[in-house]
Amino acid sequence: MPRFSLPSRQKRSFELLWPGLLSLVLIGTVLGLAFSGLFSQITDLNPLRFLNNSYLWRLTAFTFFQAIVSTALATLLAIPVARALSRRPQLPGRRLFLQLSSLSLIVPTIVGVFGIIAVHGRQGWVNQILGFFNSETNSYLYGLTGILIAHVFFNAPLLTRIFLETLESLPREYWRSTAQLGLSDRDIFRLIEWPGLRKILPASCGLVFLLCFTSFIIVLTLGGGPSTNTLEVAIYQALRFDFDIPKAATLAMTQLVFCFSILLLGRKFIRRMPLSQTEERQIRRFDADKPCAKIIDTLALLLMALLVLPPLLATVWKAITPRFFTTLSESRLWDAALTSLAVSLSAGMLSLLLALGLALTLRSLYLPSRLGGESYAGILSATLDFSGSLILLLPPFVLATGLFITLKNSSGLSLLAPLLVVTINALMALPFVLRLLAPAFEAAAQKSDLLCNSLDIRGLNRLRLIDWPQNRKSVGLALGLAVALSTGDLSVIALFGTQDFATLPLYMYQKMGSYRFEDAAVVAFVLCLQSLGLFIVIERLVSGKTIRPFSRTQHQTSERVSHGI
Amino acid sequence: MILRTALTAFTAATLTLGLSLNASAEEKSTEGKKILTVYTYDSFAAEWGAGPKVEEAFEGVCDCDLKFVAIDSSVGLLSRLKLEGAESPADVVLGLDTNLTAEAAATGLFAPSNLDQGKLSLPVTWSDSHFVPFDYGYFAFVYDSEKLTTVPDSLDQLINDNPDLKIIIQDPRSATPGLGLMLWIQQVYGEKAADAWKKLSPKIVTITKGWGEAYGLFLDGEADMVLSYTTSPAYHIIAEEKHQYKAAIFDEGHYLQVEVAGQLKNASEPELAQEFLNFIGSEAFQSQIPTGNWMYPVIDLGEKLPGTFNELARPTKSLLYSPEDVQSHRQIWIDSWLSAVER
Repeated sequence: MPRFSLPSRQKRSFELLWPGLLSLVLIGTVLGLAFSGLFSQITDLNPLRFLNNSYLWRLTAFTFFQAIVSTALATLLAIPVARALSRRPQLPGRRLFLQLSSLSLIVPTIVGVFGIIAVHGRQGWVNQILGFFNSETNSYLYGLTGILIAHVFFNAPLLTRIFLETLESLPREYWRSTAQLGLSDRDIFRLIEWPGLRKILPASCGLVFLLCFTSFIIVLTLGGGPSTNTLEVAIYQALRFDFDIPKAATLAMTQLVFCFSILLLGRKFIRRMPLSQTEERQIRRFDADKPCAKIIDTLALLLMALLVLPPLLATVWKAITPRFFTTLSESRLWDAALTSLAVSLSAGMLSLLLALGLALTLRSLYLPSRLGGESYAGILSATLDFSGSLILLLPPFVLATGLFITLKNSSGLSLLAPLLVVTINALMALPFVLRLLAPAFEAAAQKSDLLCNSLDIRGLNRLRLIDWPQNRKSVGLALGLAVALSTGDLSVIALFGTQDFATLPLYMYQKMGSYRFEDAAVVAFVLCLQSLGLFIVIERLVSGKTIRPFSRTQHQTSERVSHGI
Repeated sequence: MILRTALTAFTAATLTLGLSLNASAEEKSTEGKKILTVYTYDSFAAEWGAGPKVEEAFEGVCDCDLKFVAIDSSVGLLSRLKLEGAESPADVVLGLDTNLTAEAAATGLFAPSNLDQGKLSLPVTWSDSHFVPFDYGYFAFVYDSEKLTTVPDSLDQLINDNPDLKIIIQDPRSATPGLGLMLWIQQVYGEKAADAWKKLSPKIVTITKGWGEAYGLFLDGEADMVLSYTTSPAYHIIAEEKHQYKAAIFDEGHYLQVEVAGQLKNASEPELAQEFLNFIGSEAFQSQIPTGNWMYPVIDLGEKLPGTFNELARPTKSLLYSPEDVQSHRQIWIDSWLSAVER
């Protein structure tokens, strides 16, 4: 390698570090403003005043308990489903199944919860079917069961996607060997699939654990009462009802400490987590034909389908009311849809930009050929990675309140509210976006660094010619997911929405607050369609499903580069 | 393509810009007129609520622009005010209830109302120097008379009879009806309130954060009864022509919710705010309450009260703690409620 063509070490480090540092500074500024706002309201802070409360500790214990059980159940379901899908690439309806189950990832929580109630509630479909056969109907939903059903509904599809991606990335030769050696189903799992899954299990389960730990709408609606609340609920109540900022801050810090320890435990593995879209490529799995495998796979797929699909169907079903067309013709509905569109696109873009900065620098810090050997690499990569997940540990309404206190004097609410909602929604989508982008960018860099160095492709050229074609798939998925997630969010807009600034979820909630439940069901339906539509359109547009003749050569080159040929 | 991403970014930016311009354009169109800013909860300000008609009526007499700022709940109203403090842009806050007024008054942000409140027609005598009532209602359990045939006549029956009965209530820590029920049981049972809650607890399907979730669950058939208002059936009769929903009237009496408005000390338009508080007691305002907010008006509307409201079952006895009592005991009662219903 011609040494003279390389820039000086400092210049090179700076070039690799600035995108991540810029993102870090932006995130840090937002957090700094929020915390300074919160702490400006605290005159005497005595954490023991709040922590010396037995209800709080029972609450914390329950939060841990339900999060662990939820994560375990979601994982136990996701593994067999991912196995079934990975060894049956030709299964009819496989693609549709994958697309539909990713819906539960992006439907707004409140809509999903009402879908679950329509299926599992006292008058739900399950009980109606039981009643048809003269069985005794019963109420099993409210309480721990409801929380678990909902958490598995929302998280098992996410885990399935991650696991499926991992299983499909295993070398194809493995499967030929297993057939030659005549390995049993158990041995294949023990010797091949499990070691593959184990690498990503801590990180992906860590994410789901945090999502369940900080669960809010689900536990409030399905929990049945105060004994099944989470810490997040206690923080909300401290902040909103008691307006006790010191208490809310103390509880938020407690939650942060707990979750941070969990993150630290799983951190070693977190960057290894691929969450990118499943490629529909052919793998012949000889073990798929065994009768035992067929039974297990059918059971797993059926269970997943029965859990995930009916609540989604119920959402559509509930929207078919006499009020359908009346509600659709309301101009405020479309105003709200437009506001949602603007908010979600802005939040999605902001989230993507922040994640891009972090991912670009993270990959340099991980790769030994770049900055991986530097003394600061470990701690800096941990900081960058942690900053991307921070929002999962801090309740968004605490963040929003802090920001509001700091910024309230600087501008009117009509300008401030959209800004706050966009910023916080962007931060809320960041953990997902970062987990999609970081592994993809890292893998791409490993494959093309040598080539780029020898051709001296750097900076913007590198981004445009090499990184973009290689990573546009994950970028598209990430942006689509971020926009879809922001479309359905209610937590921040509920605090700062006004009459002139209402998104679809808030509009739905307002309908629910004044007896108009049929209308609310229609709005929920529109909300789901918009969320799904944006997800599909953005992913298609950015990922570029169709290859135009003009870009074919470039695409093929990048394909070859990415496969290391 | 980079081009497409740029395009998406551009669209997003344009839309956001358009949105904020829209907001500022609305402010501009009213230039020259005085603006009265009223904070209220969102179902009051919603296009189907009482707000828009009240706005029209008031603007007809005041030569000003009335602007509602809608906040998610009455609890949210108070916390927004506390957040904004003395710099709050609000002139008037409309939508607190008597359980919150002592706390609201304690912030020192409210000005005395200076109004003669003698002509009010409320189930209780009203004397509050700061807050003006604008509507009231009784908390009650609502049921579907086509599904539930044995309806409890009293709180006592609700608590002790029919073990299969299922109810949905709201959390007193986050919803005013939930707080209302807690005070209701507290007033009827006194020191035995915790025992009453323990006995009631198995009948509670779930305790929701807000009124909307609870009522939605009830309409979906998730419970036999839901904590709401005696006036809830009026909505179903007038707006949907459904007659099966009824409120159960209890012998012990019903806890009352009186909703109030108050003027802020630092209001930028104090005269206009005073005018609005005065307007609240007028027929023009009050006639929007029954079918806009689905509550009882605070003056006798005579013929103007929709007939349905006269046909509704009405409690004979009303219960209400003084705001100061609520403020000083709320935390203790909530803690004992928590330990009683925690299973």
